[in-house]
Order: sequence, then structure tokens, then C-alpha cells
Amino acid sequence: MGIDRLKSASYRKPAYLLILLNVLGFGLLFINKENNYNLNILYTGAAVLALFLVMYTALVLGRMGDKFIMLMVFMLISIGVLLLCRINLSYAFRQIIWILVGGAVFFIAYFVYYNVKVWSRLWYLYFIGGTLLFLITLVFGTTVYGSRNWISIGPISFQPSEITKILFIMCLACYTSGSWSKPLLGKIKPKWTALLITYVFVGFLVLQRDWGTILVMFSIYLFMIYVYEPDKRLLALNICALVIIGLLGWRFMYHIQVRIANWIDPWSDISNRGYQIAQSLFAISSGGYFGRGLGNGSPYYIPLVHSDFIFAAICEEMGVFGGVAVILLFFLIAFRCFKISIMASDPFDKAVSFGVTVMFALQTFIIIGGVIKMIPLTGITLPFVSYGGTSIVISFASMGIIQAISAKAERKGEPDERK
Amino acid sequence: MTVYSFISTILSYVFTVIIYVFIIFVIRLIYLDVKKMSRFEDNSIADEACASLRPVKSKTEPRSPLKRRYNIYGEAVVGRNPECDIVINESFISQKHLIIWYEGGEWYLEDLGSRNGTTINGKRILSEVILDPEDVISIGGLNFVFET
Repeated sequence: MGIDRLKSASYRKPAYLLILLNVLGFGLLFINKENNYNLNILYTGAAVLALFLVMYTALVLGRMGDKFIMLMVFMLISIGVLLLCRINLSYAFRQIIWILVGGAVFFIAYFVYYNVKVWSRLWYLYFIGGTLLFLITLVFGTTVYGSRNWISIGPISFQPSEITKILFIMCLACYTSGSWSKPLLGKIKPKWTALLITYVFVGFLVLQRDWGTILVMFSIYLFMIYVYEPDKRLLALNICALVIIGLLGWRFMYHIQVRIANWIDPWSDISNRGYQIAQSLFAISSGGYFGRGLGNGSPYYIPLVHSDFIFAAICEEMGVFGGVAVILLFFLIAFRCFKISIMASDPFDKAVSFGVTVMFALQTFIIIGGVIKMIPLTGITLPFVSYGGTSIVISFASMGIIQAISAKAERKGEPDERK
Repeated sequence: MTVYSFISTILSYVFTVIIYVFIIFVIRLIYLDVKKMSRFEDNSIADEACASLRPVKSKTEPRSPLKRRYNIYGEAVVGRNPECDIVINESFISQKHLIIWYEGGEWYLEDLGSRNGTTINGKRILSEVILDPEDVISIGGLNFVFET
């Protein structure tokens, strides 16, 4: 009993800090005159806190695997919603609805993944599902910022490529876990089929001009074969292919040329093409170490500050230390997910959690690297922080999968394991 | 400078402190968790000093379900007390029932003065004994096979 109490107390401490941050942050925004003392701010904060308390309690009491990931995820969500509230209240309001949906999807994904045992044999379904999503996008999709990757159904619009990423990871996991060993049509080895599937997906994404997702997907494939494939020639071949595709894109695609040019020198065309990245750098530098304080900055100068460039706004208002804290949180999440991957006993689970971890890590690296002008900018969302319905829901769903895998490891060897 | 921007500036330091203390707490929890994990998977112990106890069919039904296998790394105390390396919560097992350890190429077992005693292959033991693989250890009506 004494041990139990001690343990739960130490689990509570970080939760208290999270609650304190939310109360102070949303309270501060509420007393800001610019917001006209809008009660919606307080409701948004209360919704974040309520969802956190419900999910964290369910996780700890229900022994649903790892407890730390959810803590860190909600820290990121709190920071993201605080910034969104400050940038644009209506975005924050829509974001909170998506977060509530995401919370429900988290539990659905958890229970479905935990209880269904045939995931590792359905690689063709994942492939067909992914292809269908791509075809639907190509036919019915709408073009936003040069990429044809949105589908609108009534008032809701979503990005099917986010769902495809998960399907792609599960498809690759079937191959790397060895549960898919039968050659296709009696001849083509799974190794080559997996390669083919990757290139088919990348080809569809090229048609949609969704460069960020191409980078994420192809890198997931490279990491997977780096870890699982004993034959390193395949990896070398694929890296060569990536370089060739990159060079061809740079040579022939105007879109990519602009991105590279802005990355090398945003200052020469600062009023037009370099505007976004230059404003982002100004914002980051004006923040200093501790930031200008929530509500004191001027994030409106950065186009798309609510989604892709939210990291710049965090750096401006919460300082370099705030930005580093966000990166640290992502580091710790990736670390925990890798640990879950190591502890998992089923090879398919191992591969899936590895793939999901790589996806989170890559997305974070690509967008933060783009915002601070370390690598050329490609527009993808920062998981859990940026505004974006599909991104939030899919991030929650993949978190649910990871949670299910960690719960399996935690309950292993206990006969009262739920069937 | 308005009142709001003053409060906000002060709170920006508070936020930074809160976030970092939060991160430190989480790192501490993760550290404790990893330490717990490495206690059970100790690579510093050679392979021959690792053994296991496997529950086999016994006359009495265990009150709480048993694991499929209990691993022993170097040495292990078996008992009802949560501090034991192998915790078996049965009423006929003492708080600290017996100890198994590895020394100089042999496995030893000694009863720690338990109330209901320990039998090996049906014989009640009185002092420390050398264990052989496939020995059947009975404590509190439960049978375990010793495997190296």
C-alpha cells in the first residue's frame, strides 16, 4: 500500500505542473484587453484540462501501458492551444474540437489495435487502402498552397496523406516483421514488393506535389530497411534513388527551386518569396531567451503562423528556452517510443512502433528545421502543436497504437491479460 | 508598458520554469522506470548464472495466477514479501521463504526458516543443498521445476 501511494504521488507531480501552466496561461490570455475578456478562452483551457485529466486517469488506473508519453503529449498540446488562442481564437476553438475527437480516436485505436490479432497479415489491404485514398484525392482533391492533398466533405476537410502514412507504416511492418514471406505472384520477393509499394506511393505524392510527405514516407522506408535489411546494397540503392529524384526535382520543378533558393538566401527577395522565412527568423530573434511574454509578441507578421510556423511563434512568445523545451519533449517522446519498441515481444508490434516513432521524429525535425532555416522548408505540421484536424486526430491514433503495444508488454506474463 | 504586458513578461519566466521542472520530473520518472527495467535484465551477470523456476501442476490451486516462468539472475529470494526477488503471494508461503544462489559453478538452495518448509523432489530439506537442473521444488503446496 505504502509503495503504491508513493508511486501514484510521483505520477501526480508533473500533472499538477501541467494544470498550473494551463491555469496561468489561459488566465493570462483571459485578462488580455485585446481579447475583450472572451469567456471562450477559459472554456478552451477547461476543455484541455478536462480531457487531460480523463485520459491520464484512465491510463494510470486502467494500466494502459506507458504513462509518460501522454503527459508529454498534453504538455505539447497545452503549449499549442495557448499559442493558437493567442493567435486566433476561432482556430483554437476548432482545434479543441479536433483534440476532443482525437481523444476519442485514441481510445478507439487503443482497443482495436489491442484486441485484433490479424494486423500482421493484411499488407495488401493497407496497400489497397492507401492507393484508394490517393486516387480519391487525385479525383476529388482541392489544391491548397500548391499541393493537391485536401478533400472537402461539406464543412470538414482533411488530408488523406496523413492516414496513408499510418497504412504505409503498417504495410512495411508486415514485410519487416517477416509475417509476409510469400512471394507475390510466385516470383516477386516481399523485399521488392515493399520497394514497389514505396515507389508507387511516392509516385502518387509526386502527382499531388506534396513534398513534405514524400520526404517523411521515403525516410521511414529508408530507416526501416536500415534497421531490418541485412543487405546494405538495397539501402545504398535507395539513397542513390532519393538523391537522383531530388536532383531531378530541383532541376525541373519550379516549386522546389524556390524553396532551395529561399533556404540559401531569403534576404535577397525578402518582400516576396523570402518573406515567410525571414519573418519567422525575425520572430525567433525578437523572443530572446525567455520570450516577450504571451500576448506581447507580434506573430501576425508570419504567414501560416497557426500551422506550419507555430514553432516561430512559440520561440517569440516563450523564448528560445520554450522552443528548446518543445524539442526536448519531442526527444523524450521519441525515446519512450523507442523503449516501447525494444520491449515489445511481437515483431510486428516492434516494427509498427518503430515506424511511428520515426514518423514523429522526422516530422518534428523537418518542420522545425525548416522554420529555423536549417534545412529547406517543406510544409508539414508539427505533431500535436500545429493547428490541423487530420494531423491531430492521426497523431492521437498513432499514440493509441503505441499505447496498446506498451500495454501488451506491460501485461505480458500476467494470466489475467484481457483476451 | 501596460499592466498586462508587465504581468505577461513576468509570467514568461514562470512558464519557462514550470516547463523545465515538468521535464525534469518526467526525466526522473523515466530514469526510475529504466532502472527498474535494468534490474530484471542485468547484462553484467554471466549466462551460466541465470536460471529460472517454472511452475508445474500441483495439488493445490494457486490463489493468484502464477507467471509462466520466474527468472533468477545470480541469486533470488522467494517469498510473500513484496521486497523478494520472486514474489509469490500464497498463504502457505512465508514472508521470506527460501534463497537460491549461484556460486562457483553450482546452484544452491537454502530454506530461510520458513514455517511450512521446502521439499526438493519430495524430500524435506534441512540445510543448504546443491540444486540440479530439473529438480522439483515444492513450497506451500506449489511445485516448480528448476531449469538452468
